[in-house]
Amino acid sequence: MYFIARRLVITLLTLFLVSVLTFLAFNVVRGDPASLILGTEATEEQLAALREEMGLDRSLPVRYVSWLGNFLTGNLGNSVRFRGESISGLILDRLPVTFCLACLALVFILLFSFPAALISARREGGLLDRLLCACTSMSISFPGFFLAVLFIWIFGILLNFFSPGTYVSYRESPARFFGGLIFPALAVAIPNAAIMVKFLRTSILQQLRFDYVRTAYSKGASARAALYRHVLKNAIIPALTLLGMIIAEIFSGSIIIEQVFTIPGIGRLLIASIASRDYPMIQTLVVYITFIVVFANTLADICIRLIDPRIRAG
Amino acid sequence: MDSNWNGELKTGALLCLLVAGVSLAGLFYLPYGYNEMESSRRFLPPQARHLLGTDNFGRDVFSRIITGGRYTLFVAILTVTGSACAGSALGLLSGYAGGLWDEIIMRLMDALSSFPGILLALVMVALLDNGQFTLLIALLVLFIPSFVRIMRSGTLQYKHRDFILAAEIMGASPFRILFRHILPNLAPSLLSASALGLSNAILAEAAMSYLGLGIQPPVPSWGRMLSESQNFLFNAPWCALAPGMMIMLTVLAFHTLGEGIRRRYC
Repeated sequence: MYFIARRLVITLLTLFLVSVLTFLAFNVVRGDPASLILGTEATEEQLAALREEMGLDRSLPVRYVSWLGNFLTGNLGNSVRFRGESISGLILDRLPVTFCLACLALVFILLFSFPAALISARREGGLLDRLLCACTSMSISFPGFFLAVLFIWIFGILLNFFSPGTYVSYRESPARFFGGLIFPALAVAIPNAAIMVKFLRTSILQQLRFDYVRTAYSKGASARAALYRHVLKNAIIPALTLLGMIIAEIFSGSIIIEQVFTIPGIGRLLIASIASRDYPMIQTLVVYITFIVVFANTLADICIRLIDPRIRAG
Repeated sequence: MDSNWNGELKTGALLCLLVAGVSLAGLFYLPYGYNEMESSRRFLPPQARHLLGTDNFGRDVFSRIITGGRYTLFVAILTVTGSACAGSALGLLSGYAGGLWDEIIMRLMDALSSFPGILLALVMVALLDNGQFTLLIALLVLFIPSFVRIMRSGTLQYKHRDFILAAEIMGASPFRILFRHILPNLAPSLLSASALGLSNAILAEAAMSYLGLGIQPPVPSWGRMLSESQNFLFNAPWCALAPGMMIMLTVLAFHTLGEGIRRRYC
């Protein structure tokens, strides 16, 4: 319990720092937000009016607190780029897409990495192991967006599995929506799955050298039983920490992959907002994405504690 | 697994030399100018006169790849050097001073590294105008936390050793202890982290350039070549394959070198 409370305090502190850093970056480093939005041709009156509308005539801490309040309640005003549309509406519209992409990628990562690591570790030094190791080394260096371009070329253009550039909304047809996400999710997943395989393999091999494995064998456990019932349990724990970090990577990856496959998620919204200098939108998106990542990491840490009785006791 | 560290080190070093050598050779000889357009030579497939074919403007892909590599390596080396220096200084300070300094620096680094990597770089580009130095600064900040962590944990390992105590008794200043006694011991970790940092910097630069926020035209960059080639993937797949494979090869080279150094010396 003490640990969870401590971890939550650290998380809150991190979230606070993240929001302060982002707020300062957008309100101090870049100068006056009003002149940023209106550009250089704006008149004094226009600037003054917008400043008052945005509440820029107040002091910085007051503005931070009111912005944070608005952020938490989802009342963030309108986007500069899409006039008349609210920021939270635009984000909520696109969030499910990115969320599905990220979840699908996570499923693929788990689906690939565990069997591959287990096969590799069971046949350490064998042909299959070496082949898998070579593949993981290559995949780690494979940039996700190049993989995505390759998928579009091979599966989209040469084999005609899908037509590049088309996107079906989840409201229209969930099945076709998920079908369209398979290749993008693979492009996000493969480099991360490779990191996971490498890490998990090392972790399993380390565990296999412990005495408890020999004890298990001497009690008559088969290689399979020893691996699955004893070794895997211990090897998973450090892998969970990595999984927390991989979630950040999934979001990083999907920002770019959405661009490659022209999927209208929050990554594309972010890039479009950067291109059109929609600062309030960028600021919100950055804090939003980072909050999700920090929460995922906290969750992973707490899960490890709950799973592992040794750490739970200590 | 532990028997092939030497092979890893050698392969990595060889690949790095190859990539760096080819990129630098472009300073002295290029088959064509990297921006030399020739409308009669559009979309030529790879052949003897154009090793990697030509693109939609009839530019020689091979010459553009080599030139792009030089700029990519330049950006990567500059940023990693910068973040290694800044990160080491902060890490040494944090580890040696401990207490409040340590707490402040590490919480800041935690906050900085909780932004997903590419997001931080994108924000910086959005904030500072899309100029030459923005990319450098953005990537530099991105890689600082990893160096701080490595140097801090290294410093903690050494700070209570007898030879440090001896130096302290002899009246050495904290500055001297950090840079003459602790830093040399951490050199292998720093070197391996730098090589891994280079591979990450090259990947990040390529991603930024792919999004159009990295190295700006007319200078060619692998990421941008890849994004432009998507428009004519059907006619000229070589325009996508060449830069993509180069990014992969370069990242692989530095990654292998970094891992090799880590297994051999750390």
